[in-house]
Amino acid sequence: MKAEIHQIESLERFTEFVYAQGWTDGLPVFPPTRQVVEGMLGYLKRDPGEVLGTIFPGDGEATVENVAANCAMAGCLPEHVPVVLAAVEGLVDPALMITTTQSTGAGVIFTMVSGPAVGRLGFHTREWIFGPNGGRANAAIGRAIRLVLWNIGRAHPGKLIKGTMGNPAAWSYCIGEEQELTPWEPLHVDFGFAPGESAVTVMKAGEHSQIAVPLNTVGLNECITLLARGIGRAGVSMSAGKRAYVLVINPSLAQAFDKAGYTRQQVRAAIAERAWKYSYDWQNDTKQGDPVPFPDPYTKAPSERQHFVAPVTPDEICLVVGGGEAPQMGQCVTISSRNAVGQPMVTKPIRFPA
Amino acid sequence: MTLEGNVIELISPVGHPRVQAEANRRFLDTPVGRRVGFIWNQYQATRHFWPRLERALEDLCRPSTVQRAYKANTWSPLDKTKFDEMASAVDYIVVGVGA
Repeated sequence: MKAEIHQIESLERFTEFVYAQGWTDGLPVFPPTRQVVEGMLGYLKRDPGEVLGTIFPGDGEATVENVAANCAMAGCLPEHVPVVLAAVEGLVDPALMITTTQSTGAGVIFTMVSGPAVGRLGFHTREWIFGPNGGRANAAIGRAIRLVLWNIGRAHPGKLIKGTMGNPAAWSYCIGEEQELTPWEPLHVDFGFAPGESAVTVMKAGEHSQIAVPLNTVGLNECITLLARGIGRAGVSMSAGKRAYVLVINPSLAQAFDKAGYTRQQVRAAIAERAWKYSYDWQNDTKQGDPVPFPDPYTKAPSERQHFVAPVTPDEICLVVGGGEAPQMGQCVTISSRNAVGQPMVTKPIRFPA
Repeated sequence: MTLEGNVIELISPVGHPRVQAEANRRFLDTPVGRRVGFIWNQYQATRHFWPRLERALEDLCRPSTVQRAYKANTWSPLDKTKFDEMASAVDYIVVGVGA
């Protein structure tokens, strides 16, 4: 379906118009003028009417054209749009099922970009990687994805989504993986893509917490334990279903691991070995009044605390490098999935026009 | 920007539900006398409410058959096989959504 065209008399009227139309989640946006959107479509060389799928919860049809309009409102450059389109391909993937982002727990979509696109598009990948950092690619692509959920998925609070508290990360939650200072291959290689490709990973995210990993005082062995504790701390209110933990570690910490001979996969395995989720870390245990104890698929013998424990497996950990350098101080942001059904994250290739 | 007769044209960012999907949507003319299924998650806060809801609906609608599937916990979806069996055997399903 071709997007509707609206007319306003002047730019001064745009702000009131856009709020009246309900096209924004609250933040100011740029006008999706025909000229800007057509410029994006011309760059893409794709059929504007190409349907990417429907977006939950409103089941609005995402087309190349209306996604581009949302990109224009977010302040994207034309070359940002292929990233947003790839992210939308993730959002409509039945494997992901983004229903949990609409639940009372207010999960959000977290987006990670890896590969050459990060440098090509000028992602800000160092200090204040999670923003605000002045990086146009981070902010505009993150905002575009949010506006797609708003305008195409109709994720309007109190109507189709029932998150009780909301989440400030939902305004824009997008990072690019550090390329130059990363000692390992890009993240998407872990997901089966070639190093030279670019990819975008979309995740149904729950909690976001930061933990300091003081390299200069505790040594790498203790750093692994601290990273594992970060997992124990995150995801306290996560739901059932398949889990994922994204650990974004700063380049100094990644380089220290690399210098000690650790591959990315070995770090993941070492963290997983020490990371446990205790049943009392989950909201759905007997203490919370549920009639039946949560039947955790990973249930092991009761721990010394006589509670079920849920060991974390290496494939549940996604290790990403980004943030500022600080040789004396490792830092890690742990993001837990908020999932009930489907996969906690999916990765899609970014297809730039030839 | 495009100015046509001193107006600025804006491309709508809104996505509308698929027309075909809407057309394929089935509507129940009446719930009375139909086959009903109940799926309940046994959520604590609804333990008193849910049996009353079922009774009220059965009294009001007098279904020809009733099927029930009670899940063991709030979070996990009903087993797909069980859901498909129920969906093929009833005219409508009342689902209790907790949390």
